Formats: sequence, C-alpha cells, structure tokens
Amino acid sequence: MVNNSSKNNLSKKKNQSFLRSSPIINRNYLPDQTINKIKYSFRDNNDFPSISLINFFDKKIYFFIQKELSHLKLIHQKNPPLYSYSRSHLTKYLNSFFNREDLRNFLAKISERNVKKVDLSYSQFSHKDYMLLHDLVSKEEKDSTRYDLIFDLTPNWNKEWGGTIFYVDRLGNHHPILSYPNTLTLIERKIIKRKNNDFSSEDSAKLTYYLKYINQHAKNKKRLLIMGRIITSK
Amino acid sequence: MEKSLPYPLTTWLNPDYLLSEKILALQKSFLKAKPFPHLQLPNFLKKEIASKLLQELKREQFYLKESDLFTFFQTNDLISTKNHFLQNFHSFLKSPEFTKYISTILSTSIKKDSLDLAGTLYLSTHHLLPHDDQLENRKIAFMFYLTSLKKKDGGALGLYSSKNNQPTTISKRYQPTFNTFILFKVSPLSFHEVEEVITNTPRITLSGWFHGQ
Repeated sequence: MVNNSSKNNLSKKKNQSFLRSSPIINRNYLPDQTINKIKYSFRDNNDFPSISLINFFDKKIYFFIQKELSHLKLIHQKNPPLYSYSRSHLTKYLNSFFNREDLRNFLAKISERNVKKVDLSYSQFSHKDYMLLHDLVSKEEKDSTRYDLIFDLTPNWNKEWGGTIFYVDRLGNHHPILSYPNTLTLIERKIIKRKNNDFSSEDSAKLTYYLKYINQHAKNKKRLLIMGRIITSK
Repeated sequence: MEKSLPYPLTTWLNPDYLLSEKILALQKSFLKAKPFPHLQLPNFLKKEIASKLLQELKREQFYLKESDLFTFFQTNDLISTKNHFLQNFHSFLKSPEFTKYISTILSTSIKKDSLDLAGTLYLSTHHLLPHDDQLENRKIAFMFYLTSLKKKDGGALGLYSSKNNQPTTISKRYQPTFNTFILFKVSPLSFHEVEEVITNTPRITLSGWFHGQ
C-alpha cells in the first residue's frame, strides 16, 4: 500500500533523477560556437536587444514542465486600466528547476551578466484578456538593466486571435515576440529611477510592452506563458 | 429670431430637445447620472440629418488604428474634410449656438470653435479597452451613433464604477442605437470601454471631445 503523499514523493524523486541524468537545454544550443552566435544576435539590435530560442528545452523536459504546470491553481485577476489574466506562482519545485545552475549559466553567457536568480510566474490569457502598455517595475530593482524572460507554452496559436506580446522601442516601433511552444525569449531593457521613486524603462533604450487583447476567434484556447525576469549583477 | 443665426439649432436637432422643460430635465439627469455624469439622448438629431451623416461619412477614407488599447478604423479629424455636409456638421458642433446649448444642459462651460471630431468604424473583433480619456483640453467626450447593434452583437459602451478612485466593474452599458447622442464629462473617474464587436454589422459613430474654456 502506498498513500497519495508517498506516491507524490516517489514521482518527484523519479522526476528529479530523470532531470539529473539529462541535459535540460536542447543540445543544439550548447556548443560554445552556437552560444557565441546567440550572444551576437542578442546584441544585434540596439533598439531591441533580444533573442528567441525555439525548441529550447529537451523534449522530455518540456513535457515535464507542462505536467508540473497542470497542477497549478490559477487565479483570474483584473485591473481594468492595466490587465486582465489568470496567474499563479510557480511551485517550489518548478522554481528551483528554473534556477538550476546549468540554466543560469546559459543565461549568463548570453546576457554577459552574473545571473543570481530567475524570478518567474505562470500566466494564462484567454478571450477578453489583455495587458496594456506598461513600464513600471518593482521598487526593489536597483539594477539599471532589466532582463525579461518569456517562456511560451502555447500550442497552435493564430496571431489573428490577438494575444501577441509586443515590445515598443523609443522610436515607437512594435516588436512582436514569437509565439511558438517551447520557445524561450530573453529581452534586455534599461531602467532609470524617477524622481518620485518609481522606476521606469524610459532612458535612451526605452522599451515597454503589452499583450494584445484576445478576441472571440480564440474560442476556448489560451495563451500559456511563464514570464518574469532574471536578476543579475555585473 | 433663431432663423437669423448661421447655425440654428432647429435645423439640426429634434425639436423635443429644445423645449425648456426638457432642457431642465437633462440638466438634472446629467448631474445625477451614475457611475459618473453622462447623458444618453435618443433620436437627438432630425432623422434625415442622421441618415445623411451616415451616408456622407461612408464616403470618407477610414484608416486602421491599432495599439495596446484598441483596434478600429478611423477617419482623419473632420476639420480637414472636403465633404460639404460633414464640414457643415463640424461647424454646427463648434458654433456658439450649439456649444451654448451643450454648456447649458451639462452645466459645464465648453469652448466654442474648438473640438475634435472623427468618424469611427468598428468591425468584428474591434474593441477599445478601459481608459479615462483624460488629455489636456478634453472636457466633454461625445459620440453620435449612426448604426444600431443588438446586445448579442457586442460593441456596447461600458461605463466603469470606481472604488478609491480605481475603476472596478462596468455598472452601465449602452448598446449603439442609430441617432443616439451620448456625452460624458472627462474626469479621473470617467473610465469606459467599447466591448468587442462580435458581428459583421458595422458599428459607425461620429465621436470626439468638446474642449474646456
């Protein structure tokens, strides 16, 4: 006889050993030469330093993440002039997964910063959900550069349904973020401190972002996103 | 007396709206309206004027406007229209006669010879998300509905209630109805939205802002 709690522990142990024995990142991204190319692409556009990496995690790892997310309880939140979407914190287990040393090292090589922590949450956007243009970040962020991280898990999305994330640069250009399952996107943006102690990304590398309203054609489909930032030091 | 004015109200408006008891009733309704001061005026223009406005507006060029907040088609500001009828309507809206009339029913002083006016066309999936309209000069927001949509078609104007100066939920909805004029006072509490249109019937309006003195 095994009770439910023991079953969960067994399953987690099994998962943990499986994670230890495999490289979590798609092997194609790991050679130094490839990482250098990624670094170069990341810095290639001054107005929008960013990179999207398709099929980022190994397939087994991606299924594992999807399975872990299915246990999360999402809560819908709406602040009409800012956003409408469902959100959940990651479990401790997933949180430590995204803070693994190998993943932090990979992100450190691209950003050329020391990655201290990866701070993420899980969001779902369905019909009538949106996130309006905003640039405010938490007051705790003392660093002058912010690195946004977006991990997309949305299958078969049609951009005609809305739901695309756009970054808007200082010239007013809109940069869409690729929506493709198992895709990791890293974006760098500058932050300056306002006089009233709020923080805003509005210096010469100003970048703000929004997620376009999801319209009726999405029906019951949802945008599934793990989003947040990496906390770095020079 | 009015016939000597360049823009007599009687040429454009449903005569019911010129009766003194009606004006008094509108003044009271505007100030009492929840969630913030506004008016909905059905059959506001003479029917043939509203029909002509729709007919002439359809001749204008509409451009796709898209941002984080909205998706719809819009004309340029009609101050630059070459259409004679729309020019006349624009002149009427900013005339001393009409601005005085609006100032009276809203107990709010608005400026003559100064307004923003454009035609807007919403098709299926188009929307305008919650915002308060606040911008320098904007005193009164207004919209003339030139087509009608049923409740199931979406496209309602939703007015938000606020708590601690923050918008919470839509407490009043107005379905677009042909020849209805809606006005509201622009303020930090005037949060509103246009709900997504879910029909192929076009939602066509003439909308804009009267400016403050």
